[in-house]
Amino acid sequence: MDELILEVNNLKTYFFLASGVAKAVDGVSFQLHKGETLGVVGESGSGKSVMSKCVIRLLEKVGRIVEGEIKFDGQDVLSFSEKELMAYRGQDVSMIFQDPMTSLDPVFRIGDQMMENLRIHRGLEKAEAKKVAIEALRSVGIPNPEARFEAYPFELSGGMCQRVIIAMALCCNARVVVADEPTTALDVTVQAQVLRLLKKLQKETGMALMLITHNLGVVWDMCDRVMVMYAGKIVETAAVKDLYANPLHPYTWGLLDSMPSLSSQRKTALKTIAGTPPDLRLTGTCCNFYNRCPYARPICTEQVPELVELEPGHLVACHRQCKSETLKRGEDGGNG
Amino acid sequence: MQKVILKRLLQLIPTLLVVIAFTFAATRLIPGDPVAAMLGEQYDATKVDALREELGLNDPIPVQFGKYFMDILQGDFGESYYFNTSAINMIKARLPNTLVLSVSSLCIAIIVGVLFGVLSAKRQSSLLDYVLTVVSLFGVSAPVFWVAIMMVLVFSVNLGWLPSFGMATIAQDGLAAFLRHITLPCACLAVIPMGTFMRITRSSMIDSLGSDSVRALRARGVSERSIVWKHALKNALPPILTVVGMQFAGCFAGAVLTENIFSWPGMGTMISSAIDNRDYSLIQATVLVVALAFVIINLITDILYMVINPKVAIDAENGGM
Repeated sequence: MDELILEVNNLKTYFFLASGVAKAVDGVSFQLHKGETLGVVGESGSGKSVMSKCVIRLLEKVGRIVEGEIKFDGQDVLSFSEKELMAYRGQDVSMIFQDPMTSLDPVFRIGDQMMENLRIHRGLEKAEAKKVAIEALRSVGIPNPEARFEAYPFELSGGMCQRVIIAMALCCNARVVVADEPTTALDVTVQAQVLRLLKKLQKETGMALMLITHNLGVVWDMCDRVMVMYAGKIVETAAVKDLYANPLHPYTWGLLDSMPSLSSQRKTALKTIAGTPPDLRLTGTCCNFYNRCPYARPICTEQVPELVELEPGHLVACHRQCKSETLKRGEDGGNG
Repeated sequence: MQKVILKRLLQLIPTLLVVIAFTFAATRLIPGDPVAAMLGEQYDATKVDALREELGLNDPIPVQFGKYFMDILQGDFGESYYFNTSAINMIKARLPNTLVLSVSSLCIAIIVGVLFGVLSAKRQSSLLDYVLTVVSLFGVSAPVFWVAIMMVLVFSVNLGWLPSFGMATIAQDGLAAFLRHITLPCACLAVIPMGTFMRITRSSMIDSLGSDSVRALRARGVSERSIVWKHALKNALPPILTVVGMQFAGCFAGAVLTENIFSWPGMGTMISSAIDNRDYSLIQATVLVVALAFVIINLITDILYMVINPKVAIDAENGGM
């Protein structure tokens, strides 16, 4: 395996609300290596975005990291000072947000925003920064970059704005790019272009990519490894091909089943996972998925399942998937 | 952008026509008679009629308006009956005094108001924020005349630090005397706009500091100082500018009270005495100048919008505004 860049151990991020403590991220651990793409999937509210915000230390005020560690290149990110954080954000780890139109400052020119970044992170002079920025715009496939350099964000389409943001990450030589649903706000055709671009740049620069999405098709195309999150916990993690070939967690089965497929019969209704995710203020005493799981047993309501490595690199947290018991899809009347 | 500015300049014409007609009508509606006011105790029926004839006040109202309008087109704003000099000369003499007072008080209000507003937004819900909110609330709600009297009481009467009335010029009395005289009226006139700027800056800054683009800037490692003072403030400026424009006009209104209390020889004292004396030409000319200033300030505000956010200029060219 390539060198380790980012390591997150037992991260717990809680939101302290007036109505109680919501365990948005509850004991998440993972590693990210150079050149690797890690997919994070799960439905809304599963803690994907909160986790990504923790990685760049940009949590809302009500949220707090209560336990765990985040290590970048061996350094403890949680102990960074404000100044170290500024260098870390954008330079070491770049973030791509969902909506590209609101990720750029609307009242400054694209070029000025790019140059500000280059000045902060690489200490470049104006003329040099301009050259680097235009080159970066060219390399993300923006036609006529000299003209776009002078443009305001509103003069560009969503796809172009997302390219600009990718170019910013690129010209600061970010080693980790965290993309939080980078294509959700874009047209389907543009989505593919942006993802292909990310893939191509990753090959060229060797950056590590953490791709947060709820689109399993994107994960299949893009990722090396995938992490399935549910109610703040990782329920299953594996290499992408293992996960698709042999998914183990009932929640993963549900996710895979709820993907529309072009080959399936037109008359069959799309399968969904019944029920809703649990209230995050009440989790942490049992398997969070038990109330929606067709395979649940009494133990599921009593103990929190541990994440266990069943096959090399394939971990799952389910009471019914362990060394002594192997649950099969569709067993005991389950319809998953 | 030039196209938009030209369009706006053309729109000025109907606005000014309405202002001219309105001031003409309003002055005629003031109860009382200019001739009676002029003659005062020497009131005499024959004199009155002669004077009315001479001033053209016996003509039917539409004829008076026609004459007045044609005169304005030729740049003649009429004679002040009371001061026996042309209204425009009176304004030329008084306008700079008012401008000095209102511009300086507005500058202070902008600097202090925006600064405190930003600090308040930056530390939302802190003790500083609460204190500044109370200060701004006081600024907005305290009546000018009351503030003026309190200031005179404290700084002139009790402490004796500053003169309570009058104006000094730099040329004749020196800078120190000028500053001593302008301090109280200027501070008094700055109170309301300062409170208003603080409030609008605070709310506009809270919006822009909470926006997604600011979050993205933080994620890119931009320093907090640059985020607050460069990015967020520029995004927060349009509503602040609107209020600056309105308050500048408000300063002229505030000047009527402030200048009277501090005997500042500006447009404010002039217009109140003109109304007392039913000095039609002077009232009309003064109101017209103030209205013109108001319209021009609004135009400048709109142009500044376009400079700050070029999207506004594009939208305006495609219709709008």
